[in-house]
Amino acid sequence: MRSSLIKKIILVLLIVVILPIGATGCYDRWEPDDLAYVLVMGFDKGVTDKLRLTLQIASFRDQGEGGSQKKGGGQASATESVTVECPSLFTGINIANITTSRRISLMHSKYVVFSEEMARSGDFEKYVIDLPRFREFRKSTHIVISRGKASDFIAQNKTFLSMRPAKAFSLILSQQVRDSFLPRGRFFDLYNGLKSDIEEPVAILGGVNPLKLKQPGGGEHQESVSGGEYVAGEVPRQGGVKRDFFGAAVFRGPKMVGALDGEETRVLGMVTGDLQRGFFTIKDPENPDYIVALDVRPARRTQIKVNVKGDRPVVDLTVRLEGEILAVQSGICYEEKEKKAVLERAFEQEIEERMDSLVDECQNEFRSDIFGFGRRAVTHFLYEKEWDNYNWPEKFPTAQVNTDVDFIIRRTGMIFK
Amino acid sequence: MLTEGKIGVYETICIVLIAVTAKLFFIDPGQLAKLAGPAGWLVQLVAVPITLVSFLFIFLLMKRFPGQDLVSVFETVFGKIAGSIISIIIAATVVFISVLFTREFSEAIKAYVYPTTPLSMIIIFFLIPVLILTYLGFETIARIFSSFVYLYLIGIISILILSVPLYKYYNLFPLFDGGIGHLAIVGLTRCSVYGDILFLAVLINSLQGIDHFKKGGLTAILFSGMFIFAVLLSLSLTFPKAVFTELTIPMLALTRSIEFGTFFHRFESIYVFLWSISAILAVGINLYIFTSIYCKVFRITDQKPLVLPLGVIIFSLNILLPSSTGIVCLLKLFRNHSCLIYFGMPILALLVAAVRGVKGIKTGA
Repeated sequence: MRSSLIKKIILVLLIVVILPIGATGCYDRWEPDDLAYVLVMGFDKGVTDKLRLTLQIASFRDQGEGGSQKKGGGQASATESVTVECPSLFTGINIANITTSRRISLMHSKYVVFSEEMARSGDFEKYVIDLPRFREFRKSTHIVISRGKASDFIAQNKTFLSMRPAKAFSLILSQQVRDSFLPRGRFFDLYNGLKSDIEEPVAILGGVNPLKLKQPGGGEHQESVSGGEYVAGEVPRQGGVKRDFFGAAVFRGPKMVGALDGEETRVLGMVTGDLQRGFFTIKDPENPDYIVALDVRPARRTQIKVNVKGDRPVVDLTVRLEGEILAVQSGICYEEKEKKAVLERAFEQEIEERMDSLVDECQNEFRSDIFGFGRRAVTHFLYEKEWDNYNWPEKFPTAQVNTDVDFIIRRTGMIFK
Repeated sequence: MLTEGKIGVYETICIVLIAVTAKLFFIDPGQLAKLAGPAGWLVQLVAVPITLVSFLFIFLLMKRFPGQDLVSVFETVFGKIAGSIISIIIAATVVFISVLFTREFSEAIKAYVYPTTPLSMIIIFFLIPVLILTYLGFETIARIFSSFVYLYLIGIISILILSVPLYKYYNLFPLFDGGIGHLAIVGLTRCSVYGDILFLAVLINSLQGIDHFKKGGLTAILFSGMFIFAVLLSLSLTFPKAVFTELTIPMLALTRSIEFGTFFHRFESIYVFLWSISAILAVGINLYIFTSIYCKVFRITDQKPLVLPLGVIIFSLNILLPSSTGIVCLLKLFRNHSCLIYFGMPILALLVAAVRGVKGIKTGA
């Protein structure tokens, strides 16, 4: 009886001693204060070594301590950047660690920026394929291709209207849900695109905006109808931060082969399903001097049918959209049944034209299936050999793509004439 | 005579289900994808019927020798020495897979969760609960399995549901990597995944009769097959073949990919607990089976004194394995050939018994 009690006491003591050691993970215990959280990584071609790596790290300084808030307001940042030259990302992290007493961690990185120069060279793939091997890197991280140097882009990557960079950088790229001028751009999708032969990847296009608007009477006058016909770095705006996200970088295999402007990216989003909602502007069909603004969203999932029976694949693409009238400058009553149909057909025609133009560009200029038509084509093949022999990347540029856009105006906003 | 207690059909199913499906959380799905491409789930349509047929042969063997466990049956059929050697081969196989499983788990934990913690420490902390389970005996193990099974199944099902937005049906195409014939061959070898069903024959005297053995075994195989089928299908739908085949632990990659908005992500932190417990239970039952066979072969009446030395042996063998690459090679070897041991030996015993006309003595039990 007594020995049983002693045994139980010893057992309980052992559990009490052993459990805390196991449960606290003593070797891998890192306090949040011990770590320097990288929010953005930038990859440029190096000069003294292969890679120029820029790390933008969340600052631990208080808001009032200086550095995070510039005098005069405006562009302020709660981050610090370090640029090192190194043979690989991982050695670069070690080198960058000499600048801080904290251990550099990638656990909370929000996006990775590659310079366009690197994306257009074979070096892009070399660095991308190693990222998911590292445990701290997450595939939900976004990939940005900067039109200039990644280090210059990161230098201008500051917070605006917020002093919390982690949240700001995370939210800025989810804005594609709001206006769809950007592709989804997650590493998960890019990596799958790089690895498979049924689709080609796209990434978010970034750039540094000079923030200078043309002065009145300054000569050349360019009129935009849709408002999205710009690429990152060229969006006419003033104020805010210089860092621009606008449009998409197009890849063929592991190399970037071109860029889409904001409007083309929206049209691409209609096909891929990335478009959540967007405010579109078209010329008034009955009075082209005026414009009509529409709030557009997908009505149904886009239908893509691919026929692979002939020598030339035939793609039937049906996009179904619905919308709401936001503005009619001419005052024409598009709320009326007949007029509404006129506006709907005009929008359908406009989107069809943009879509045909984009398809043509992707087939003839980029030769890259960023629409993912190959995803449907592959379903006709049960055996890998058959699919390999079919050679979709070679077939895509020859495909006959029939586009059909169906648009219906569901609401007329707060006014019904 | 080793006292092992009695369990019902429900506990029987729980033990086999967790022991078989725990493999899903490690490198097995990735290895299968290398062999069968995106048709790994279809392989189960071949592997499960083969396992069912093999199990029916084991059932016929056990029915022929009522009241005898597998070790005793081998001794009756092959003679004491040859029978004991065959039993020891099975026990060694079980220890071998326990070692691989322990090291596989420890490597996974080191790679994903505790990168700077020494491997030996992870192995020790993994083995402590495993050895406690083995020490406490079969009935306790069975109760723990049956208590944990709901949490385990909810965990798996929730992963499958939360991953739905990641499913892309076109990732399944082209379906056949090397043709249907190749798929059938892979299915034939991969029935070794269900080899844990043999444990029931070792523990048959705890199952309250041959009918419980049959009912529990068949149901467990079908349930395990269903879950493996669902998980492999889910993984194939999520990752293109080229990505799937390069993942070390596809299930972990799947849970890392789950996210809803900017707030709900990093789900793997929850599932690491689920995997740890299922791995502990799976190795626990394997080690208990080893001690059970060992005790029966050498007529030892209590497994408890064996537990600590066994722990030392398992730890030492784990440390001897040089790298994770070696473990993958050994696992490939094991998966391709272990069905010969798990199913081949009992079927051989049935054939020999039938040819020699050896039968068990019917007891009143």
